[in-house]
Amino acid sequence: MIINYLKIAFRNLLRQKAFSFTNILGLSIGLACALFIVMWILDEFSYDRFFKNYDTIYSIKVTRTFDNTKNTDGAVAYPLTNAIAEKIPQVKYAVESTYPSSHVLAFNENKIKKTGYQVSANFFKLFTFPFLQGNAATAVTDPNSVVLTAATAQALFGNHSPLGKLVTLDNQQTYKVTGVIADIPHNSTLQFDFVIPYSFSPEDYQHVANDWVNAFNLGYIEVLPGTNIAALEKQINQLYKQNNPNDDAKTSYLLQPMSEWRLYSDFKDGKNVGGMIDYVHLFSIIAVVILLIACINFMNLSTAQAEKRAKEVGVRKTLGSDRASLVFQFFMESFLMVCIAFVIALLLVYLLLPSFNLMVDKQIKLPFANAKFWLYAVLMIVFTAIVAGIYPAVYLSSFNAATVLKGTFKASNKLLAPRKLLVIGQFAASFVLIVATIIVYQQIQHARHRDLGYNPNDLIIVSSSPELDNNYEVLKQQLLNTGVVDAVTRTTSPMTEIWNYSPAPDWPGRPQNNNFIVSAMAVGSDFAKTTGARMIAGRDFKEGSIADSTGIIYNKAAMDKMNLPDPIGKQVKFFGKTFTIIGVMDNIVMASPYKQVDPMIMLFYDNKRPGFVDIRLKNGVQPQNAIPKIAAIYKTLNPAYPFEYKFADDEFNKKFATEELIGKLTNIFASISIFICCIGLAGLVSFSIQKRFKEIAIRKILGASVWQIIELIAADFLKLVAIAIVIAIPITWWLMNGWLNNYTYHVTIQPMVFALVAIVMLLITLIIVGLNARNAATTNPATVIKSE
Amino acid sequence: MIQIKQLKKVYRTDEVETVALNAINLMVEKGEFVAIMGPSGCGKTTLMNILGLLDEPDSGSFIFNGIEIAHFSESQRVQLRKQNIGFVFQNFNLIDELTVYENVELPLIYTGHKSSERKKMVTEVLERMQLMHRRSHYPQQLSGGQQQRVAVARAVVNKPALILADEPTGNLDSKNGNEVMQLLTELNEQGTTIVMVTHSEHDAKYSHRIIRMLDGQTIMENILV
Repeated sequence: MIINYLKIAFRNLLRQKAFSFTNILGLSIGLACALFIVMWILDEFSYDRFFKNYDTIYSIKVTRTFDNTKNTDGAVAYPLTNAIAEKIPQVKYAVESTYPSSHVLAFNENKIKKTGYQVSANFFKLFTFPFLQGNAATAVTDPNSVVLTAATAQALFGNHSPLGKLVTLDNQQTYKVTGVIADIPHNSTLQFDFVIPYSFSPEDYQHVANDWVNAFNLGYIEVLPGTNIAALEKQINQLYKQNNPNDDAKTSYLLQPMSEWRLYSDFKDGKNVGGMIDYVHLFSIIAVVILLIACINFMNLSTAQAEKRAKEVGVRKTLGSDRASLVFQFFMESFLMVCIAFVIALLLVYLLLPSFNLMVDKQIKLPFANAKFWLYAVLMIVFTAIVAGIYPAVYLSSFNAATVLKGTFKASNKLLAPRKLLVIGQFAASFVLIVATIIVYQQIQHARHRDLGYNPNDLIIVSSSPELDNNYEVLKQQLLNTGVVDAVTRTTSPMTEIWNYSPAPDWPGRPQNNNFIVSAMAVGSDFAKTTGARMIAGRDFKEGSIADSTGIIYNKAAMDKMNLPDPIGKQVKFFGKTFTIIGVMDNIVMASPYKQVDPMIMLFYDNKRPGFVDIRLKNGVQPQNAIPKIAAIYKTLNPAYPFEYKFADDEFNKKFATEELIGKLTNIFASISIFICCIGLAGLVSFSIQKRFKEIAIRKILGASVWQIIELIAADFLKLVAIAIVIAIPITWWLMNGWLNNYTYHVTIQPMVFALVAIVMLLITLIIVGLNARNAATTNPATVIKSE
Repeated sequence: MIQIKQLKKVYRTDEVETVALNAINLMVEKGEFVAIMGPSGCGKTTLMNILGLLDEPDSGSFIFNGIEIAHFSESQRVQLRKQNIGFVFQNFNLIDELTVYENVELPLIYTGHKSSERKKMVTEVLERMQLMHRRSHYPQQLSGGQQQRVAVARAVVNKPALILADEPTGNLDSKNGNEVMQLLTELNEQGTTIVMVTHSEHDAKYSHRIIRMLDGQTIMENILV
């Protein structure tokens, strides 16, 4: 029986080529999209699962309250993890690491800049990165050891064995290679090229080991199975309070399981508010919507075909087929179609995967060997076949044999209503996606073209080093002498990031309740000149002005909070020292381009911590001409370090990565959804015209023009699309307004966008109908009437 | 075999009520060949549909092989139909996507015959209808007469007790029409009961008895044999 059904299904498929092509094309594209999204989601969920003790690892998060605002991050004080390991028996390991930072690793003449952490001794017991060489248990117990990833080892030592060799870090200290681990998989939250153990001088250690206030480490614990996490959090908080009873930041610790590191990274008011998981949900919905749109095509085209299949249904019924076996038969046809579409979709995915990976910055492979993937694939096929196939199957099998065979059968108009509803649904979904794409794009453009308060173009950022800092004046002079450089300054953090926050300096007459946090950065002379920042009052830092070492510059946002009249020359107190306000600068956007600029202070650069040298190119100088000249100077003054530079505008643009990715993906999916809608619509229009061929001929005989006939057919479809738009507008507005509210600095939704998309959508509908109807409208009516 | 009493069937639309069968009575004995005649709209086809269990009456009694089936459920009717009744239509109603062989095989699939059995039965009936050489053709590759022979072959392959033929020669020329009537006569002689709707007096003469209908009722019977 099944063979008989499949046979008929195949022959139908071949006979009705246009119908099959339309259906399979729509379904393949829909399935390919869904496959891509499933692979992306599987990849997102695969993060960190390769660790053996995935289920029992937690990271320590800390919520601190300043200015009534709760901030949650991972920064913990150094003694915390040791204390936890010592005092809390349910904790198997407690380790910490520094934040990642870049360092120059050297072996003989081979120098490379790599990112690494300092870690505690049990780091590799908790994080089971596979060791290719060396012993995980002892690799980071000696303070002078270093563990490299395979790629780093290869870059430093080529094919020679790295174990036991000495690597110089930042041209200062040497470390012995004690282990080589496999390259870190892309789906690891922790990403690094090397690790070294923490090492302190005895006096530094004395200080650090008892410093419960300053927090500059990340903490991780592994608990024994069955540990009560809420109780453990309480214990950790108690432990902290015992050691830092005078905490004024109302610090509170919480534990985040490893399974949430990737997808739930955002905190608000001390509570987890999601993160990447929002996009996982968003794209899951988009996958289902696109698949549904493709399924709706299938339903509509299959049921529109009813009259063609009616006779077969009648005959089969008279020959003794019951309803159930007919339903099954039609379902088998859908199933076959979906299977073919799935094979094509797999092929599409295979071909497009490299581009997809490039776009989403992942290394996803088609997981043919992964049973879970095939399980999802089968589920997807069954889901699609059921959604697409059941309704046509039930409908087609419902025909009354007697009427069908009498030859008086006309597909009932009752069906038009659900079919219309489905078309409305399809177009409404596409409308939402298209408008969403435009609004995401507008939002990115809005933030990108925001006045940053400085000029990031042609501003080169170079990392500094202790040597370079000592030779800074020489460097600056030589750079200015090249003729391609207009101004030079230096900063403790790059122009596109804020690294330091602290309570605002105290000023005379400060009201008791006026506490706020400022971001802080030390900058060299000519800061405003080099970056293009605007001074509102006072002046920039000046070279050689000894007084400037106690000068302070505020930004406008800070001044607004302080309400200090005539600030220039006023004195403020900061960490026990007195500073004189020498300038007020307009706000500059260094952190999120979507947020308001925080209050900020700038102090004069001292040589204690090497930061960054910022170089402003002269107007009209081509960067490719300037870079070699800058590099040459850099190499003579800073020979131990490879010359690496960044452009401020490139760095700024990186802040849009997530939104741009979301924008690109929604753009692609919106285009695909409207495309699938259009092929479905084209199919429906052609069926509708076939049915009305005689009517069209008679109208033409009675004098209708081609345009009147196109109008006649288009009116029905335009009405549907118009209804879809009306339904979609409030939905889109609600969704996108919610999304935009995530950003303080955002566009407002303009009605014009809705109007434009609506017009384009109606035009597309008109074109599709026009192309299809032209043929019918221009056929000689006499031949039609005769053949009837 | 068939005993119909006071059978009524009314078709209703929003505005019009059409009485298709108006308390009709009819008896068909086993082995009979009955022709039903009458003008268009007299209820012939409705009667055939009810006899063929494709439609159900509004009221009255329908006894088939001694069983009252007027109020059988859809699935009961399917069961009864596929084991007892074969159909021949004016417009053949072959499935275009299936070959001659597959069309004839179809009823056997629904009655659950094994593949080897089916092959034997289909071959046998196709040989009898002189259609073996056409078994791999699709319906549209055949002449009207050949198509109707396929339809008859399909109707008899299951060896049904009753064949319902709705104007079986209506779309055929006289030569092909006669051939089909000959075929039906032979089947009747071999014991199959036949009820045939026809407009043709010529065809009606092949039957044992002609029932004439008007306005949903039988008005006259001519017994020929």
